[in-house]
Amino acid sequence: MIGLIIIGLIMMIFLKVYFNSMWEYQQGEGFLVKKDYENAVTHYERSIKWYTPLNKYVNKSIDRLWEIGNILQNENNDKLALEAYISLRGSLYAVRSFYTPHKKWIEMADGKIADLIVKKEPYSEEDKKKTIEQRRREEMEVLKIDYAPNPFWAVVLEIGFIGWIGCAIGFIFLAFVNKDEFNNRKAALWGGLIITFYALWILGMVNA
Amino acid sequence: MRILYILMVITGLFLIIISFWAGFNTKKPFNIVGIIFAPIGLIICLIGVLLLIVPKFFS
Repeated sequence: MIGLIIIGLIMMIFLKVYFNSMWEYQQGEGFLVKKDYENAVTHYERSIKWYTPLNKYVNKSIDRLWEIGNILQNENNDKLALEAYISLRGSLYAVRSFYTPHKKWIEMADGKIADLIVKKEPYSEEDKKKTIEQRRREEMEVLKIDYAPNPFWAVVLEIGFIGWIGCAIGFIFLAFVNKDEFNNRKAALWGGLIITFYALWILGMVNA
Repeated sequence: MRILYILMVITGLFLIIISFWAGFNTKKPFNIVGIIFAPIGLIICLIGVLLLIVPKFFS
């Protein structure tokens, strides 16, 4: 029975996310027909952020953002084209968990973003001395930096966090027997566990 | 500095133990005064653990 309720709840969340993605995609399509690229980009980006595995609207939104980027580049609207590619890259990074979906698209967007950034007039004197290839290479290096958290330490962090809160609750309910009685042994056990899990929590945050 | 942080943890734990003892084994007003040191000890102990792991947390 409990299993069925859990499955039902997961299904409800899945459907909510799936239909929101579909709805945002349809909104994007409406703006694309009107050639309102700015609003279309916003809705396609939101559609990707309502990511669920095997969601065709996420795939379609990715295609559309890429398409809009190309159209705008051909129209020499580099500013908005850059926005489209950044939206594509950013939304895919936003939905990653222990895996990054559609990595191929991120790599393709990285290339386009680097191309468009180096087309801009460099700000610093130092950058002005560099060749376009050199600046592009540097941009790519920056874009390729991976800020993904370490999954192992992320799990340690979660265990530490849930652990110290759980042990604090255990301390409250088991160490204080009644109004005038205090169980020293249980207090030492649960108190020690609070400190241990707290240390794990900090360690997880530092290393994740 | 590591010794200082270890001392903070030990002091914090000591204060917590003493405060609980005072809270349950002494009479008014010493039990109230004693138990006030429990949260103080807890804060000192937790900051000690934090600084042991991340020494530059506050800098």
